[in-house]
Amino acid sequence: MSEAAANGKHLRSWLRALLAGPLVLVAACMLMAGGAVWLPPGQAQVNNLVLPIVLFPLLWTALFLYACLDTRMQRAYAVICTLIASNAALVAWHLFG
Amino acid sequence: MFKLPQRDTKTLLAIHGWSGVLLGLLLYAVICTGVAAVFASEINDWASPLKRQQASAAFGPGLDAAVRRLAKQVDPQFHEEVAIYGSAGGRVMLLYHRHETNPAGKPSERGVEFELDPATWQTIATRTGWLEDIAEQRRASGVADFLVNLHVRLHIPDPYGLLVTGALGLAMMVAAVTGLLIHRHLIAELFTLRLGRDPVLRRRDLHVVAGTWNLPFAFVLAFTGSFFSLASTVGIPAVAMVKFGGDQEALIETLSGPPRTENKQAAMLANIDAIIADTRTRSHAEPNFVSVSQYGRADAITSTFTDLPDDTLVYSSYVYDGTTGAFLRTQPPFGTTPSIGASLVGLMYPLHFGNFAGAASKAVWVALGFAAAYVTLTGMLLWTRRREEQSAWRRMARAVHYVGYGLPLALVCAPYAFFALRDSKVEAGTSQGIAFLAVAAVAAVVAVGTGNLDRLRRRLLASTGIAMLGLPLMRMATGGLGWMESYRAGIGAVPAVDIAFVVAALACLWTALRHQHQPSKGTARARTNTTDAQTT
Repeated sequence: MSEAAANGKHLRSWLRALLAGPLVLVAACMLMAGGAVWLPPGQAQVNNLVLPIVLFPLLWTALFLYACLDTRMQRAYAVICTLIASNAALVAWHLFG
Repeated sequence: MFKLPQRDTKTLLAIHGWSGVLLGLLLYAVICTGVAAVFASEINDWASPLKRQQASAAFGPGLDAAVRRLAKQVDPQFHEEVAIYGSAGGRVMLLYHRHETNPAGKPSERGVEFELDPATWQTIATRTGWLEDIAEQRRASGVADFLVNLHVRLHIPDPYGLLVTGALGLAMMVAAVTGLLIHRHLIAELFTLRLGRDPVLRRRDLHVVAGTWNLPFAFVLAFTGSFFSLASTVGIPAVAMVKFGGDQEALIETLSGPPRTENKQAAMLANIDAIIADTRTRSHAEPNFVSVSQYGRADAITSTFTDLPDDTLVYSSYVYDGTTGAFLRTQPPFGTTPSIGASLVGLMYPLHFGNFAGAASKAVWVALGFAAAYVTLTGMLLWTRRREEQSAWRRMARAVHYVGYGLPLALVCAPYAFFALRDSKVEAGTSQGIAFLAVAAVAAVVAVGTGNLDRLRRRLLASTGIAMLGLPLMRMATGGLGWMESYRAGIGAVPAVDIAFVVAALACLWTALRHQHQPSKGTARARTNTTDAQTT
């Protein structure tokens, strides 16, 4: 394996770790925070407060495995970053809009 | 069963292994203590039973009079809420308190806790301060509290301990999901067990069979456990920030339902004994927690909680007018009407604690938890054994043996300090923590000094067996109840836990002392390589 190919593989590993580690954690947290805004509260007025907290471990696990398994890393970055940006915008609009 | 591309299977196998190896030792500690914590109340009844002539119900007649009598002894500011709950050995606790922000800036409670004997309603002990300080002063529930604290937060201060156990729960979820996906022959592997003379194949098959049967349970435990750890540290602050500007008390009040219209006029409290009797009739279950908010005021509310009735998995509370005793409503875990969110949260408790069908379901949860601990330990042993040619992995294998067999030994030795010092002023958590660390240090010396890992395993297992055999004797020697006394007092936990320790001790000693066939190194290596190829 040439040095350039080895460096490329090394970089891809780091990019994958960045995506599956900190970015997925941020995405799961933002989905939880955003869920409190966009989920319907239901008749008891608690679903939007409770469901995001209950589902947080499942959200993180699903996003983590997706980030590890998607063969096209650019697409995985696009999906995770879109989730972060859309939910962050929703939360910002709710707080400051 | 799952036909994934080979690349995905390899990736999942790597994630499965590394998620276990990186956090496996801590995860093993959390699972082991969780297995014991399932029987926390029974362990406390065993360690600190009240000496009495006959059985008496925790929430029996006379509780109302005791609440009124003790209310006169505390500062009226602590009448904001009275919490009444059962504790070790049939004791009843009354906590008069108010809700405040503690010095760490977190919502907490401050007040006075009375420990009562329900047979006479005499005060056994009184504790004051913040709830966290009161919890540390509790002596009767010391043995289980030590285990539960280790299980919940590894004795690391909040919120870091909860964050660590939350991360461990997430790692366990990943290991469970990837463990399911990497099976190519799921049904066949449920039953493939080659118990021949080759220990390598046998260990591999035992790990796979135990892990495969345990997959649904491991997933449920990891999901519910990470929820409990992360809800208060991440979830509630995040949702409170978005919806209530960071006010966590406001979020909790919203989830609890709208408060009653404020009325500060003085008023007599309704009879708590009558309210408890009414709850028994409505729920067909035994009350285990009573809360009186705004004690002595016209807007007082009394809420009662019960053990789970036979036909339900989601708990409800019963809400009464605190001054007239009139029944107001049955309340789900959150909100005032049933909802998916409240039901899901309500399900988390029985699924994690296994307390939905009494001792039977708890016993099943202990067995499944033991299997999860076994899978975690054998997974790490298999992983390190495959890489034993590298010195770093050989050191890791020694660490796995040390934690795997040394942790149970240290856990069993901790209650010796509790029994030896239970009449002293040393806090139960402190004495057990010192004993735990001292035994862990001795085990570390033994682990470093014992060259052969199998011999190390046998030594630690035999020591654990001996320590377990001695624990009932230590309990009795330091003033604990005998079996006849406990039978008369209706405390079945005393002989039950004693017998459980003896049976577990004999199992440890049998495992440590039995003869084992060891194949030659070359044969073992060849078999390991074969099973590696089969797995991947």
